[in-house]
Amino acid sequence: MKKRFLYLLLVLLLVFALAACSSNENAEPEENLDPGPVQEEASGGEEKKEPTYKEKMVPYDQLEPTERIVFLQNSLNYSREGFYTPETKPAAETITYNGDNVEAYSLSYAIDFLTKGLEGEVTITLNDGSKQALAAEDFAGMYVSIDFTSEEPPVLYNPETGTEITDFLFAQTQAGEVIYSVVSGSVYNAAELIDTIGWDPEVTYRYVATDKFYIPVAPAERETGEIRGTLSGAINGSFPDLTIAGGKINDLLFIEMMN
Amino acid sequence: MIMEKVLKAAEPYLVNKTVKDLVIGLSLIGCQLDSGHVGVSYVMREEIPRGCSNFPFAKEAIGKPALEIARWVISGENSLQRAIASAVLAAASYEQNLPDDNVQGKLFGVDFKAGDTVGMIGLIGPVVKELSAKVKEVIIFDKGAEDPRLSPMEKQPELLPTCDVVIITGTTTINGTIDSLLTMCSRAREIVMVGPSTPMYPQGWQSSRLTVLAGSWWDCEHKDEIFKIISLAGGIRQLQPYMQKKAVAV
Repeated sequence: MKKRFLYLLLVLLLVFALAACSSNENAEPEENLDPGPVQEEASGGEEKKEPTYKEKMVPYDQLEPTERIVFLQNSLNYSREGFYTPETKPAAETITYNGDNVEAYSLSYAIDFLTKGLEGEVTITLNDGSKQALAAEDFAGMYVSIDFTSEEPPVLYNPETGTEITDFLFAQTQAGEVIYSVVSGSVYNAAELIDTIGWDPEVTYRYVATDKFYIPVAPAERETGEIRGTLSGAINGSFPDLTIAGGKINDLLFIEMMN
Repeated sequence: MIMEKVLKAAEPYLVNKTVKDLVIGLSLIGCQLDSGHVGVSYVMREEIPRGCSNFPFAKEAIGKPALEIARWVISGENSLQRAIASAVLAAASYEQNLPDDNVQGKLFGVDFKAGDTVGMIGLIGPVVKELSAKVKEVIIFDKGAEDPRLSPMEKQPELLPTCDVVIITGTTTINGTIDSLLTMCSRAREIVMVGPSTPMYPQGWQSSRLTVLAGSWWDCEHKDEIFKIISLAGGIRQLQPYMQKKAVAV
């Protein structure tokens, strides 16, 4: 009798266990049909993904500033917060040029991004390739008359001394730093630009945007890369062979050496 | 319907992807797929239904297969739903190798000639400025804008057939006017579709008169900034720092 009771109990337990298993099997497809849990599962999986370059990037402010090539237009034309804020963004001033009152930006906005300062003379290179030397003080006092969306080069003018540069391409300081003009609609090969100013073509440089986002660009990537003056007036970098950030850096403010 | 062919061409880039995130602003829509890529499309405010709580589909899109949402570009009940699909299509287009726009200063890769009459569907200020200096005449139509440079909409059937080059905004794929517009451009040497809403799938357009797709990709590293700007009613001008212009011949 006792054996028969135990046998019955065992059978009942087995039946309950099977019923429980069967119930779980039915629940699974229902859960899969519910978009809620599926969605949670999807986002749970995403969390395991590798962080993006920007998430891994050492914040720019933690880096040591080095010698730079500063892009004139983007040092004056505020696009987004970063090195500038809405409160500190460049503002045009009224100067007298050829007897007229014109709006112009102080060149000091660009000069302030140079890390070695101005000393002695600055060598100006014009678009026709000709060069001229200018006293650093004269250069520092200049203003920039510019239409960011024009293909015409900006006019640099010192209202105190009357010095005027009408076909400006770039200026190089005695320390080797550069202020470079890229007008709307113009395109420069990235490697040739480095070559033009005499920087080492064999090293990796850091390309830094106005919002402090940056990408390292090696010589091979510069070979096929371009610095472009866009229709909107911004200067962007494009490096088809660079995988970081899709090979793009918009609002390029300066290129600097990497220690 | 040309968008059916475009959707077919986009399918290989949509399968096995889901919509990860979505933002709908006053001017633009942003979408991120689980691949990380970001797409942006235009909100045709004047065409969306009035009222509140009318768009439950938007929240439901997150987590759904990208292909399912992209199909809204045809089946969408209103222009907002179709615009979400357009953003999905834009985000999925990254997996193709598309060339940059304006390389060597050649806008959309098109040779504009001094004697050209250019038609423009959708006013794009910087392009008008650029072209006005290069061509004979720019005729502009824009239903949603008020500007003295605009020609009356009812003149489209009369003036578009006279144009040598036509520039059409990608929003015409959202409001369903693209098929009839392409029919009107009977004499055009080049027809260029421009703007972020342009579905960048050249194969899908091959049976149409369109010759160039000039759309945009977006810097995915700055997804948070892009979505923030869109959520605060930002437009293309505010998003420009994150834009990567592309142009491909069809």
